Amino acid sequence: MISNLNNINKSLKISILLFIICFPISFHNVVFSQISADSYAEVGSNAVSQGVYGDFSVQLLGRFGSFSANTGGLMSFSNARENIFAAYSFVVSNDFLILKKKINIGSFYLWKPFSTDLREYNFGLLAYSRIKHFGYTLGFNSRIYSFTRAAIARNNFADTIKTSVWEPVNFMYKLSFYHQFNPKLNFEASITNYDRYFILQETNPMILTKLSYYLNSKLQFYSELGYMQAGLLNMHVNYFGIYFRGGAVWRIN
Amino acid sequence: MADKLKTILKVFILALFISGCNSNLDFSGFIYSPDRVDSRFEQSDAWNKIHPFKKLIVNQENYQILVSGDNHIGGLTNFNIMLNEAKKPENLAFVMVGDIVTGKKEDYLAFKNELPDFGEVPYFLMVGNHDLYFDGWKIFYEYFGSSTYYFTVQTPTVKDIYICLDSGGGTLGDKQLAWLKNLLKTERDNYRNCIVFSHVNFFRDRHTGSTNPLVPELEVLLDLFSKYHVNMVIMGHDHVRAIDKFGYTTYLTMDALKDGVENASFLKLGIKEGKVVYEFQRIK
Repeated sequence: MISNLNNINKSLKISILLFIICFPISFHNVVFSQISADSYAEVGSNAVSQGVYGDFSVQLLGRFGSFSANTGGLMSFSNARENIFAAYSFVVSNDFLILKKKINIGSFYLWKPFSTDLREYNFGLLAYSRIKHFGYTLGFNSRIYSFTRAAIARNNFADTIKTSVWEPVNFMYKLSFYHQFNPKLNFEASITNYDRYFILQETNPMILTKLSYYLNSKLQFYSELGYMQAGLLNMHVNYFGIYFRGGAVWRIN
Repeated sequence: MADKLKTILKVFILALFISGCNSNLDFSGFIYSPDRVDSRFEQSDAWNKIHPFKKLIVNQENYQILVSGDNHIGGLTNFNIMLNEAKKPENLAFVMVGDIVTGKKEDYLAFKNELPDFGEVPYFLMVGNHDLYFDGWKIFYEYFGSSTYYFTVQTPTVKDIYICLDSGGGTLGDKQLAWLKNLLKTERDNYRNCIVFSHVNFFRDRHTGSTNPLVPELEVLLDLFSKYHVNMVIMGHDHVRAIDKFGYTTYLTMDALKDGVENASFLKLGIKEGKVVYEFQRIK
């Protein structure tokens, strides 16, 4: 009975996710003036991956005037992981003109089933602005680590036992440098504490570089390199991990 | 713009140099660390193969161990207060979860000279980030040996296991993590209670400049400790106590025991009627 209920729950969740992902495509002519698909494959290795891991992501971006919505999912394949489905994200943002400066302000939700029993939930706000060669993103997230309902039932946790830990505020930042080699080839280097499907603590900065090639007005290819280290603000740096990804952005309409 | 950046950079480098000359901080660790966690673990593992894990035997079911963090010796006043307490017959041993000293050789030596004979009061030490400054790992290893190991306590009826980890660099590294996973997999069922000691605190209970394990590593550890019913994880690093309960595991960050800090305390960790209990002992 419990197994059946779990299966129904899983099916329901997958249906909702598919609906959220497919909704912008189905109604793009009505709701959004522009739809893009962004997909990448990633390989990497870090202190917890037990060898090389591989990730695959699909994201859909809809834009209507100054408003945009972005949703996507990540699948991860590694020796260390129990779940293949690794993350789901949903972002809405809008461009504002503040003090004659264009600032994009968005809110996001990030869900990560990082083991069979445990989940990470994030929600937060980010503001982005760019001045010539430099881009600045600042914001915060709130993070909850939690047991699943199935794990709570299986472990017979009493009501008095806490099954989640909440970190109320974590600052997020991304300081980027942009360089255009030519109209088709762009470079970006950033110091940040987050990437598309993870948010590190504010004290764990990482380096992210991106090379983009615009084949035409509909298709863009890119590659990204991420370098993570531990212990920087402990003043005892240790290599933690590295990843490389290659992807494409396709403007559907 | 470029001139301004150059000036800021010059001031920053000068500030690092001046503070590096006068303080107990080793700013070179921002750029380069002479030892990495994987190589430290290999050395600890080699030490463990020659020096078997310690087994303490008590003739009663209830016992108590003292635990301290962030002593930052230099000053020995608070450490000696804890040490005198540890020598009382109700205490079985004491544990120091890193940042024992500043990393400087003279402070390691001062600390070593204060330590009692292991037979008199058993003690268990592990490194924090400060212990690694000024190439401090070499001295720690020479004086005290391994920083990744476990010890056990045998009562008349059951055994408890205490696991000590090296998280001074902000990560356990893949080799130490594999060792920990294997230890829990093969040994956890043989013990009643399982307590883990590590320097770097897991959760950001407050905003500080100190580092926590990166989120991907934290997630692996939370899952591991939940799966193997680790009773308690005791940490330092943040200098201010915090208690986070998550499932059957209590994550406890201790106050610093450093001389001169207002909230200095150590922990009385007890096993009473089979359960893990604790009490902070404030230094007056």
